[in-house]
Order: sequence, then C-alpha cells, then structure tokens
Amino acid sequence: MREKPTAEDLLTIARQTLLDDVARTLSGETRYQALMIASAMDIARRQIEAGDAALNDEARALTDLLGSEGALKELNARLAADIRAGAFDSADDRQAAMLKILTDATLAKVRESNPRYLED
Amino acid sequence: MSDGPTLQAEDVTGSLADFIKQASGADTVAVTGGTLLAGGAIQENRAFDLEIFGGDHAGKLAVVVRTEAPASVGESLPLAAQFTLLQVAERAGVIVPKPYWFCADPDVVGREFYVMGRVSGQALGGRMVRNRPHDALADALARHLAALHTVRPPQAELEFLALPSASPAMDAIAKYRGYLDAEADPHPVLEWGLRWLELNAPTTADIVLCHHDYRTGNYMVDDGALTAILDWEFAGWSDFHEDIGWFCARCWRFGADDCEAGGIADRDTFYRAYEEASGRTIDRDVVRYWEVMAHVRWAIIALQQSHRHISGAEPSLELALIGHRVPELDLEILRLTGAA
Repeated sequence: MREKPTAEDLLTIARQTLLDDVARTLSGETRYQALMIASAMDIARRQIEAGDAALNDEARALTDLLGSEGALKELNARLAADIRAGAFDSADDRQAAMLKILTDATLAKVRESNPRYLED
Repeated sequence: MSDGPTLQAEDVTGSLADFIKQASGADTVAVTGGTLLAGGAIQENRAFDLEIFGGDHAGKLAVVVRTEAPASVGESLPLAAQFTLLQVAERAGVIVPKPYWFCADPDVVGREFYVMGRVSGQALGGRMVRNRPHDALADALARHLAALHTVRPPQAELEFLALPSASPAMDAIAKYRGYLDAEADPHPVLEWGLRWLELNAPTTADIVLCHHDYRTGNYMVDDGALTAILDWEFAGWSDFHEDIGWFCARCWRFGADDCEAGGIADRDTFYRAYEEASGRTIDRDVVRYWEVMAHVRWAIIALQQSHRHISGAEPSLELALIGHRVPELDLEILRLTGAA
C-alpha cells in the first residue's frame, strides 16, 4: 500500500501552508513567485485527481471518428492534418462530432489548468 | 561585445554623458542614476537623470536607456527599428515616450541602445481594470490608435518592415501554420481556428501601420490619464482591424469580461472614438475575425514560451505556467467560431 497522505493530499496541504503561512510574509517578486508556486501545485493536484478518464474518452472518440487506431498523439496529429486539409469544412454531422470531441477535450483541460475561467 | 551582464550603472555614466554631449551638441552633460526598471528577460531599461548644458536639449531630462539581449524573440524588431517606430509614431501624433537618441556603438554602455523620455505612471494590466469603466482612457486609447493608423505604406524610413501583402490575414495564417509545424505536439483546435480563418478571410484590407501589441498592459496611465503607448517591437503593416481586434480580444481583458474593450470600457465607447478620430467605419465582423486570430496568435506564443521550459532550454515556473493558459485560449477559439 502506498503511504498516506498521498499526492493530492500533500499538494493540497502544502499549497495551503504556502499561502497561509509563507506568502503572507512576502512582498514583491518573492510573493509573486510564491503565488505562482501555489498555482502550479493546484494544477498538478487537479491533473492527478482527474486521472485519465477524459484522455481515454478522447482516444475512443477519435478512433471512431477517424476510423483508425493509434496513440492519442498520433490520432490528434491525423485529426490536425485532416482539419488543415479541409476534411471538416462542411457543417455536417461529422464536423459536429469532431467539434464535440475538441470541445470536450478542451473543457477537460480548462478544468485542470484554470477552472475559474469557466465560472464567468 | 560579450553576452555578459549588461551595463553596470557606475561604469557607464561617463561614456553615456560623452555620447549624449555629442548627440545633442551640448557643452556639458551630467548623468546620474542607473536604476534598473521592471522589464522583461529580453529588454533592459535603466532610469537616468540628465542635466544638459547647451545644445538642443538644455535642461534637466528624466530618461530611460534601453538595451536588448542579443537572442531576442524571433518576431521582434531590432532596437534601431524600434527607435525609428517611436519617431514615426510620435510624428503621427501618438503619445509615446519621447525618442531622443539611438546609439549603434556597443562600446558606450556595452550594447547598442536608445534613450527615451521617462514616463510617469504604471502599466500593470490587472490594476488597470480595477474601478472600471474608464471611458475617458478608452476614448484616448482609441484616438491614439487612430493617429497611428494614419501612417500608410510606403514609408521610406520603415523599409525594414515586411512589405504589406494584399491579405495580411492570409500571411498570418501561413506564418502560424509554419510555427505549428515546428511544434512537437499536434494542436487540432488551433488548426480548426486557422482553417476557419482561412475560409473566412476578409477580401479587402485597409493597410496601415499597426502596433501589433496594442492592449491593456502596454500603455502607461498616471492618475487616470494616458501617458504613453509602449512596446513597439512587433509593429508592422496590416489591416487596421487587427489592432482593434487585439485590443478587444477576451484574452487581454485581465478577467474584466464585462468591459470588452481592453477590460476598461465597452466596445461602443472605444469604437465611437476610433471612428470619429479616423473617419473610418469599423466593420464589427472583421474585428471579430481578428479576435479569433488574436487568440490563435497568443496561443502559439504561449506554446513557444512554455516549450522553452519544457525543452530544458530555460527552466522557468513562469514559462511553465504560461502553457496552462492555452486551454482557455483554445476554448475561446471554439466559442468564437461557433464550435462550442
């Protein structure tokens, strides 16, 4: 068994300590750096908590859409090339399906990188 | 000279004074100061105080000496070009730090440099949007942008700028596709944005001198009044709507989404002042087009910056975090193109 508190817990408490007990005492450049550190820890925690669910969904959906197998990066590279070549220019069901994949994947990333962006 | 630390204030006041004496035709020049001002990793700005006796600029002058690291951001113009742009902008009636002298000799302060007037105020974007709206400020910014846009090609002293094309939009699309090709990872949302931009490119363009980074964060304000437009290193010929689109792009509102013009006022305030001052009619659809372009451009810059960290070339928490702005830029591109 892995020792607790685990990664997410550690990041949460370490970040809180940084903000409550350390950043408060700083000003100027070092305070700015402390806030950036807190930000980075938050992103890391959210990525760990999110796990691979969205990535697996994306891979499955891209495989269906493109009719070919491959690692996520290869599937995205093929999609990117197809988009550039105009394969998704027509506003049809296939385009809609593709855009749903992009939107879902993008929303998952925003939730990890900056969930506050979705609050507005 | 070398890539070593740039001008040490104590070492250069003498040679700087000699240079200024020559350049201004003065009898004597006294130089004090040398405080390093906040700047980027690339530029170095130092504040000096001059006392000039005789010549063109007799009196006390508060100035900034600006130098630049040799390996600058790919797209930014050389220092001499930036100085010329300040002069052109000033002459067109744009409020800028007063350009005094450019020096190509690396032996005066260690690198080539220029001297400009020191401007009061501050430029921080996050602070600028507090206590909004700032209608008078938005009005002034629109008028100064209109003044800049009175400069049309060709201009002999701006020969260093890439020749204006019939379609600045298509030029930008080609350039950004080139950048994406150099990236290790695929970016289908940016490809979607670029394809949309290609299919919807405006068929005509009124080509003028564009600032190319005209936004909140790049102008100084003192006690509510605009004191200078900064950061001219990306200026170039383009459709005037490009600058308006950049200014109004959501990614440059510093969270103040209710004020679509630079996070400081509503669009109508900004557009009205621009139209009045320029005599042009702003095509709102074309501005929207360039807002899509703005998000694509900023996303690519963010990717390049985070890549400097990821590659190990420049480990930096700040660069690392910039990469995490890309998802929201992607989302905005999807929204603006009706995809999300």
